[in-house]
Amino acid sequence: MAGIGWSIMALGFLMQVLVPLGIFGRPDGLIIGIPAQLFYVFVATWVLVAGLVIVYFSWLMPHARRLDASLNIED
Amino acid sequence: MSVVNFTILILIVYLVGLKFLSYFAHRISTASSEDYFLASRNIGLIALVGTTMASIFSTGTVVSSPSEFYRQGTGYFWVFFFAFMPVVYFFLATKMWRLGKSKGYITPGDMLGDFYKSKTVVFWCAAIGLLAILPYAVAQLVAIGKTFESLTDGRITYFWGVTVVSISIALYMYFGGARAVVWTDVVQGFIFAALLIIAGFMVVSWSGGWDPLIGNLMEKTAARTSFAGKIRWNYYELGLLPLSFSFLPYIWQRMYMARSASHVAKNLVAVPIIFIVLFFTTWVIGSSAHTLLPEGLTDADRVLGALFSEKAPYFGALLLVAAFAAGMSTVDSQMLSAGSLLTHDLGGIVRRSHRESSGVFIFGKWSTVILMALLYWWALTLQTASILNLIILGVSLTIIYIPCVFGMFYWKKATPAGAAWSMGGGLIVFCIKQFKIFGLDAYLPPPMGAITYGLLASIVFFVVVSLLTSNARIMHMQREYDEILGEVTPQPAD
Repeated sequence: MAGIGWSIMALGFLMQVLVPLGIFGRPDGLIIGIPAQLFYVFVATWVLVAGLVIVYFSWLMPHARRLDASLNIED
Repeated sequence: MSVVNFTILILIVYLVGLKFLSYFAHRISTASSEDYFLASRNIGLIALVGTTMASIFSTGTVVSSPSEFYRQGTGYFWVFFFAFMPVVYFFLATKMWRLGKSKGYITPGDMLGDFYKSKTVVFWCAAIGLLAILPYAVAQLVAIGKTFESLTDGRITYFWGVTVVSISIALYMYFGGARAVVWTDVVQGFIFAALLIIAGFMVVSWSGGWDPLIGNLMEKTAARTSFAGKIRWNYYELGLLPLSFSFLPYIWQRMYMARSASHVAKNLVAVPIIFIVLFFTTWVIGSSAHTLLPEGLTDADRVLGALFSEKAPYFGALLLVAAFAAGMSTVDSQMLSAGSLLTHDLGGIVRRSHRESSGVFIFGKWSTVILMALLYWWALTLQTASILNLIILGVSLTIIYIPCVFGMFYWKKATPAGAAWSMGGGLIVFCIKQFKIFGLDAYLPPPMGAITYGLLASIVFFVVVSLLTSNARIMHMQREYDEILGEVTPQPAD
């Protein structure tokens, strides 16, 4: 699961890099009321965060809980 | 009641409230460096998220970000790379927390110096940390001064704005230390986030709704909604800032402060979500200025003041409090951190065994106040400076830490000499490019700027010097860290 999270995160980051370069074209209109090019950057950012949340649940949080348990710290 | 009187009243109420908070924080504080700088490493989740948020989101968010979206439009969208920032800490934060707890680290230099067993590493680490913190901190004072002046139509001058905020911070920092900083950060973080979001809804309403706001933006300033012709190397170079931002000493020290590793992890995932909401709001505010201020502005940094001083002056007074809160909550953390760097790292002032002596504790408190006074004096000379440029200068410098920190955890061939050369060499190359020292920047051609050259130089120095020198002196540290972090690979003989 963590692998999927990292991949989604990488996809979001890649979109953040590529959208401004015009790799996906430079659409002029609006998407859900937001200028299309800016919309793609916002989506890219949320995709990155979605990946981050998946990695958090599947890898970071269990790792942190193990660390706490080793020191007898309760969450 | 006039707007100016209302503004002054709100500020007095606000500052008295903060004073009360810092007083209560002071009452439960103990006279030790660990308590003064790290609140005894016992910060709970809400306080941790609050203080991290308040430390990250500064006047750069409340004042400068709407201004830059107004001025540059898409050219400022590199700021959304910051959502990536916690990812760097996914690899490091829980390790930093565990080691800090186990070995009593207070500053970044403590950890790096202890691992690499090198005073040179401690010196460079502290020097880079201080050089990074000071421009960033002074930018907060400049932003508050400018906002004061523009929201009160010059009746409260830049001088008085900077003076009031400097005295307030010095007072509650001296008395309360990290606990006061954390408590006030939580309150201030909530205040500025709430006011900023309300301000976003207000400007949409004044523009006649969402569709007219966006329609007007696309009609009058179509270039600001398109990336065509805007993307140069600089856009992506600024995208490196999330990497360096994570290593600013006061952000690093928040990892030491947490009560548990789970809190550290939850904090990391909360930050980018709050970040996107707040920066989207600042984009809305900045974009609305094209509709609401058709005559334009000579100083883009005054967008927030100009938008609210006419349409909603009383709410503008509250926004001034938001800017005040955002700036103060960042400067206090920065000054506290700078004080710890001075006390614990620079000049070998403090031996580890003497750290909890009362002399060191008092020196630490006074060093934060003296730094605040120097910052105040500097801010008075920067009234016309660009806030964003000062912030970028500060944030970029800590990019130089990256090879040493990752090397400490992930590269067994890292050596003390490699770390010292990496930080020293990286800093020198960064400064040559940034400040054009002796014309040597001619050897560092564009399009890459100081951030990229600083990072590249620190990586090259780190790798090359580490490969040429011995790591025998720190092999036992690698084993010790592995043991503390539970990463020892069982040997066949075990």
